[in-house]
Amino acid sequence: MWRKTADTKNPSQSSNVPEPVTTTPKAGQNSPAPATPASPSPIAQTYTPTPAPVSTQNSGASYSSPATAGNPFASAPRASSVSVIGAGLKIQGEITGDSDLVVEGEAHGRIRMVNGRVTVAASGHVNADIEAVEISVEGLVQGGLKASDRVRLGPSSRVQGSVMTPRIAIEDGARLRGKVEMIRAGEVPAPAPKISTPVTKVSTAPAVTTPVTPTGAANANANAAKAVDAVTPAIATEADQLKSTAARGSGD
Amino acid sequence: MSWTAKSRYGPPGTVTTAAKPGPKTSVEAGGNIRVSNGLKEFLWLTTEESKQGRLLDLGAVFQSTVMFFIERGFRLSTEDMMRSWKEFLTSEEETMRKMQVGSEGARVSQGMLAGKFLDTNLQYPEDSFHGVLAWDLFDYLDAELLPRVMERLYTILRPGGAVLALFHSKTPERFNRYKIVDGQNIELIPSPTLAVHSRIFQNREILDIFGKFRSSKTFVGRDQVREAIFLK
Repeated sequence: MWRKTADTKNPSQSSNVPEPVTTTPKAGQNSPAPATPASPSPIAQTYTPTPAPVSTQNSGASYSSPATAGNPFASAPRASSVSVIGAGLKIQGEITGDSDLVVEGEAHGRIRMVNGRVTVAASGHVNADIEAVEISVEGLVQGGLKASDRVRLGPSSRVQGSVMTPRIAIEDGARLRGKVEMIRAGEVPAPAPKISTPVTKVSTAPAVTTPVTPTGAANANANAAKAVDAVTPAIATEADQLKSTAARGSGD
Repeated sequence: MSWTAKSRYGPPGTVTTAAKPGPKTSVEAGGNIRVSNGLKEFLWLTTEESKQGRLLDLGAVFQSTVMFFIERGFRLSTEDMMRSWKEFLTSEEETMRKMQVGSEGARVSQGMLAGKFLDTNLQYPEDSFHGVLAWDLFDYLDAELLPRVMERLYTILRPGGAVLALFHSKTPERFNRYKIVDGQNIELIPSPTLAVHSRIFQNREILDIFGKFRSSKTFVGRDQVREAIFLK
């Protein structure tokens, strides 16, 4: 079972700091300290954010959302790296890459993870179209979802936009405002150009400005990086959200 | 067809363990499942219109409902209107609280609220859908919003499109959402109350609110629920 280990949180950090997440605590384990798996285990994966403002990519850790744990629809953990848009971080622009992406903060623009899984956590707010192999939503998404494998809408999810996927799992309590279209597996997304992911993991207080460190094709990722200029949570009001996305669920 | 006429399929009712003669009882066990002849008729109508018809579900989204239609080739859009309306009202109340007493914006009528709500909801192009599943939504809408919603539904339905609506003949004991089990059965899902049951419509009143539509069929259930099908 997925849960956050609150005991491991450093009291000097702000409340927006992502806490270490243990997907499967080991039985009989008394120490609350986050454990870094020494060897790859099919059961327990631990995600441990680094204390630095910008964490490195390809840490090898896997992220398991709360709802994927114990969910028969959930796929096996991927071995790819995970990029996290932490709570309190707001990104505008296009995010592309091959790794998995977890959105705990805000993302506006477009998300395209051709070979990865996108997870919108309960605290996540995405105002963008998302394309990925798998998309799991627990938070708010205002935009279309295109998955070449599957889409999962968790009980606390709110999606305003169309869903295109070969397989869909909708849990009771999920909200979907838009159309659902089933497509053949692998039909979308189309192959993407080789661009690495500039998404960073931020685990510091919201007042810190976090630069994005493009890797690889820096120019191509300029759009994704330029908007990471502030970490002030700018949560729109409910009315604003509805206004801005009124037309998303309409038409073909 | 008479509004009070019993369905030829027999009255729908909640699940009973004892099998009764005829196709009128659900055999599904362990759930609050009722036979829905209205759904059966709705499917027949929308399928006849187009094999790949577009449907709009105004209730809560459920996996089984989505898959039911997708597997039959329908294209489905969902919009939980009841919850949207509740959240809209909550948001408006919050806005009003922050306003100064006597300010211009503090004077809001029900009609203004209804109009504002529909500015951001039920926004679809004209003639978009072959069918709309309204469930018992209309029982919960206030007098200002209801006619506007009916007007909007008429606009977004294609000619010949069908609306399936449920009307309670007595105040329901609890608030339910509706999930499609199969082509003739729906499951009632008890849910936290999103809205107070507004009123009980008489048959003539139902005809009036669907004034622009053509009346099609009505099925009266043993559980005091009338299932009505109207065509554009």
